[in-house]
Amino acid sequence: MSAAADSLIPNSRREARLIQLRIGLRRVLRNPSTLVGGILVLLLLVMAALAPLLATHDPMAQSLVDRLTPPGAQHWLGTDQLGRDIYSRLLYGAQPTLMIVILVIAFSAPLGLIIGMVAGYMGGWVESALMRLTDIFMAFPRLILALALVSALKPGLTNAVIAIAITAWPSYARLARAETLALRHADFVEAARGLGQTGTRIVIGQILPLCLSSAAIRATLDMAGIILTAAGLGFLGLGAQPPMAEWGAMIGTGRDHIFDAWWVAAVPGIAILLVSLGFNLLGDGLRDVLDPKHHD
Amino acid sequence: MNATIVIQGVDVFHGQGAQRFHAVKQASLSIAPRETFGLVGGSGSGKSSLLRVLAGLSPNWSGSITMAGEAMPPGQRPPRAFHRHVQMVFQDPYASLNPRHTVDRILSEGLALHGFRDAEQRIRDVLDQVGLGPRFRFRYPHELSGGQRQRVAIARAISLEPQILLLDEPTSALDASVQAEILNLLMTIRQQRPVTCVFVSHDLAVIAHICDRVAVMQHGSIVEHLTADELISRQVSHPYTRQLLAASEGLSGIDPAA
Amino acid sequence: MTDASLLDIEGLTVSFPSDSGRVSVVRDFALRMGREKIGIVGESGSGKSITARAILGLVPHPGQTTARRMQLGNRNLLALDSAGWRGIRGKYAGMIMQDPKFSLNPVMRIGDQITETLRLHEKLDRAEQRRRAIAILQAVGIDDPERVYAAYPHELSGGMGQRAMIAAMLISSPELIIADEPTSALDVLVREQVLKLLDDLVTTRGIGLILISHDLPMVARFCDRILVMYRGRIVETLDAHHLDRANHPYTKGLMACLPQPAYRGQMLPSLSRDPAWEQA
Ligand SMILES: Nc1ncnc2c1ncn2[C@@H]1O[C@H](COP(=O)(O)OP(=O)(O)O)[C@@H](O)[C@H]1O
Ligand SMILES: Nc1ncnc2c1ncn2[C@@H]1O[C@H](COP(=O)(O)OP(=O)(O)O)[C@@H](O)[C@H]1O
Ligand SMILES: [Mg+2]
Ligand SMILES: [Mg+2]
Repeated sequence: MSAAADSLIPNSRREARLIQLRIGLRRVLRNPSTLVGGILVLLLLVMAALAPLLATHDPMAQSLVDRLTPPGAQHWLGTDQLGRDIYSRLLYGAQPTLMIVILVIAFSAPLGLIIGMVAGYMGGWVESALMRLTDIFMAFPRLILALALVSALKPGLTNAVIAIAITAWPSYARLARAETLALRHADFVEAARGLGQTGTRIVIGQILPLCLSSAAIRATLDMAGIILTAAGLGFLGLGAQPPMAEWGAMIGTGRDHIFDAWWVAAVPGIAILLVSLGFNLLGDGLRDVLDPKHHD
Repeated sequence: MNATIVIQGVDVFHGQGAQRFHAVKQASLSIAPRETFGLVGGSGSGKSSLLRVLAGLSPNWSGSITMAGEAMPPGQRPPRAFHRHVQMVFQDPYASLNPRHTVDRILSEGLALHGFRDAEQRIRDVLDQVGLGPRFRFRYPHELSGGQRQRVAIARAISLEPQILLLDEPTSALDASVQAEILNLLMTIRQQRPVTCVFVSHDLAVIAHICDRVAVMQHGSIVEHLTADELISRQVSHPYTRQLLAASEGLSGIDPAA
Repeated sequence: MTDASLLDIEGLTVSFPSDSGRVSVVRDFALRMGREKIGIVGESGSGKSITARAILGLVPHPGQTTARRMQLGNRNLLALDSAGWRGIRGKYAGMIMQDPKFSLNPVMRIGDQITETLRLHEKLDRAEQRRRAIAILQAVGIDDPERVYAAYPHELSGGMGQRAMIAAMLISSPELIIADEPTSALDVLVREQVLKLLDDLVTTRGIGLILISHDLPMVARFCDRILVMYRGRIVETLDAHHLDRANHPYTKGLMACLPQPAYRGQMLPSLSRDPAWEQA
């Protein structure tokens, strides 16, 4: 790896970053789990983005004559109890799934990182207070808290996101605090202090970049769990509301026909399985690729 | 001429309350402008603790310190401008550079913070000066050898044109050949700029080579003051200094027969 | 002193895979030694540690070791499987690493770590194990062996930790000890004591010692012969008492760049490297 880096001498900030990116990308592509995981996740992205192009039917269009048609030429993956095309619903269903994942991570990762880094850097009573708070949120079982919250507020996608995010941030806070504690007195942090840098600048400029890779690994592994929780809420009718296509809700509606029309529940079930497997593989692989202990 | 660094009755502590550790006891020194002053002693003798106080990195001390004409207030962090005049180089070049920052970023941070307008030019100059050149500007630390990293750390320190340069065992993690290169670099810098240096080491040969005067530390106290000539000709009086000399006997610089 | 029969190595090569094919980090290493003190010096990355590990069958994955001959006493090391290596390590040959902090198990009492090799290789009851461990702790210059026996590594200073390591090494009376930078992490004064101790023990017990360091003058004081390594190869073998007879420009360069009173305040000569050194 360093031999490759030696032969490429960057001449600007951008080039340096591009070379790093290329080296990283090569490592990602060489690692079988990141490769398989990446492909599965990419598939999810493509499905969500190109759903209108790839769909063969209107995902909402009901046709009672066609209800519970098995997979075939007309409906590739069959139809549900209202005669809606499952293949098309599957494609559109990727959108809320992805949306939930992105919103939850976008909310919980930064919040967790900030709380953890501030706690780790400041120490003292600030740390005790913040970490006690983190422990409290960490102690709630995710699905049960989400259930309570969603039923107290109002079932729907937004509230599902809020509920999941509230239980997702503590793990980032713990991780960021642990890293910050280890880095707080590192020589390069002292050197930055010696240049005259202080508090916020040190946390953001020196410590944050080193927390990011483990946060990224954590986030990817988390996404599988988020998808499952969202699907769970959808299944119970507390997440995305009908007629919106959402994988968990799709399984929920397929439940009544599980013996005579297995595909209604099985198709979104398999999709959830594959996507969460994809995120898990990607996260595991990223840990190999990004963890500095593995290559030095 | 006035001294650049005056230290009087300085005590340095680690921690608070019952766990407080008294790392440096009643240290007093006075270092002239452009002098290179050596601090020697075994590990744990308090050399780094004292140096970090001088660098404004640990406020937990008492006594009186004047750096470049300004009195340092004990118990608090010095203002930003202080760091413009006092810079420190750490022992382990593998730990003192942020692994996620390019050399360029490592060098620009201090310049930006202290409002240097010609940062671009200064980065190029300082890289030349430490013998790295523009090829190294956009590399990451892991793409550099130990000696190259230490050059980057030195470049970071001298880019602000400090009056005082504090060096904490800057060569003890390096091979002898690289140590020679770094020592040569430091001597060149000393010739080119009016800089006062404090050089910490446990290696008497290195200290004798680069320093004008030396203080020997043991268990947090300065036990002896020597000139480099006295050190080389072994005119020492404290038994601890003798022990140190005996341990480096025949090792290199210090001649056992002298 | 010079029955050259303890360790006999010829053509030892260690390689690691890299982006551009296999890279040999130790090339054609050869050493015949008896119960003497051999020093290996060279700059960092010259392959000293990997050589030491290869001699004990400890080259990390995915490194590959090949050799024409590798014998410890009359045991052929080339024919060993991993169980065979375990039978050699600790009993006939042992290694002392740079930093006792990393090579001692932090959650195990010193006494248990010292007697571990005894439990592995000999059948002794606990009282006898303890007696032997205390005796060996005393032999390595620890004044209160009872306390150290019951202590955990973090309760000991660096010098004490390194003494404990040496004790753990010595208890099974090995024939060969490899010490890889055993004093680099220690205080100057402690360094001196630990080296003297090692020297005494090795001499009085007739153990073969390979001392690895980047510090040429230090090695010269404690060893009989010195191998100088450069980029994985031995470039010169020296009589430790006659460093002045060094021939190779690399060895001369290594000595010249040390600060000396004669050069005080002057520029030190820097080492200019010749690509030809890698071939020779
Ligand atoms: N952050 C710290 N907290 C507590 N004790 C410390 C800390 N840093 C150093 N010490 C103690 O202070 C003493 C002096 O340490 P130091 O100044 O690093 O010595 P030297 O640089 O001479 O080796 C040692 O006993 C060390 O254990
Ligand atoms: N696990 C490994 N994988 C690949 N290369 C390695 C590994 N360990 C060491 N090396 C390479 O082997 C060479 C020799 O290393 P080492 O024996 O540790 O040097 P020394 O002990 O002389 O400093 C170095 O160039 C190093 O990069
Ligand atoms: Mg120190
Ligand atoms: Mg080594």
